[in-house]
Amino acid sequence: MLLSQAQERPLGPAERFGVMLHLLVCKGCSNFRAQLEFLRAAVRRRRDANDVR
Amino acid sequence: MPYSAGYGWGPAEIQVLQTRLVATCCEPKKSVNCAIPRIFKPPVTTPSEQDIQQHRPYLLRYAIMQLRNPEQAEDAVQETLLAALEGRVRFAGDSSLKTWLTGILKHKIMDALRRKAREQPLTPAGDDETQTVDTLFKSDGHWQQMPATWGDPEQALENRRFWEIFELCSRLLPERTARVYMLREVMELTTEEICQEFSITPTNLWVILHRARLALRECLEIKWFGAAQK
Repeated sequence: MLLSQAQERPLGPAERFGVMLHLLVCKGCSNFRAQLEFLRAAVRRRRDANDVR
Repeated sequence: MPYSAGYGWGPAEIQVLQTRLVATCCEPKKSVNCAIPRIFKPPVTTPSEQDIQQHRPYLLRYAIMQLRNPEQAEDAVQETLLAALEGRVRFAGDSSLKTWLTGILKHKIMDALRRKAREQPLTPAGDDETQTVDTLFKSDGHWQQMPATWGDPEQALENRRFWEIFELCSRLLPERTARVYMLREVMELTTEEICQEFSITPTNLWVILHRARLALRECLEIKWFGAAQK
């Protein structure tokens, strides 16, 4: 949930630290974060492709 | 009417005037505002009806993506074109015609969404929305199944089949989740704008967005990335 929120607002220092620690031990969560970034990129790419056509 | 039209000044004369103006206004005190008065802008031609109409297909695609309802999209575009025709003399040429039209369309889409929201007020999350989240996590909040890596997902962006699945997955999102998510990601509205639009709190919004991302991720995982790796 915090990873998702990070796409909306800058996290506070404590939150950032917590997320960082958690990501170190949770491989799935770093995968999840990469996937969130991919989703955003994909949605925007689809929009821009629609713009050009 | 632009100054140049009435006085027979071409771009060259305007250029000279601008240089002089900047010189006289800037030299004594560098801090004064040297912005060039509006009248010296190059003349703007009022777009013709044809100029405006040629953007129709683009506007329609845009509206359909936002409203997810062809009839409402058609209406919004119609209203946009009408408004543009009536107000075309006000087109200032600061942006391209397409950008200007899209700006009007965004307002019309907002109006349509507002009407929609009034007709069917945002109800608390339905079962279909909470269900996805419930099945993904154990009761202690840990992932039921850890997200596996997607390898190099960039490759998928080049694949037509991937985009079909992407479309399909976006359509599977519950109505209001999808609306909020698209406003955020496609229109890039800010958190404040969306909260105001739907009268919800930022926390509500984050939850909705988070659910949208989880659901979309899950759908792509099952229908694309999981299947591709097997």
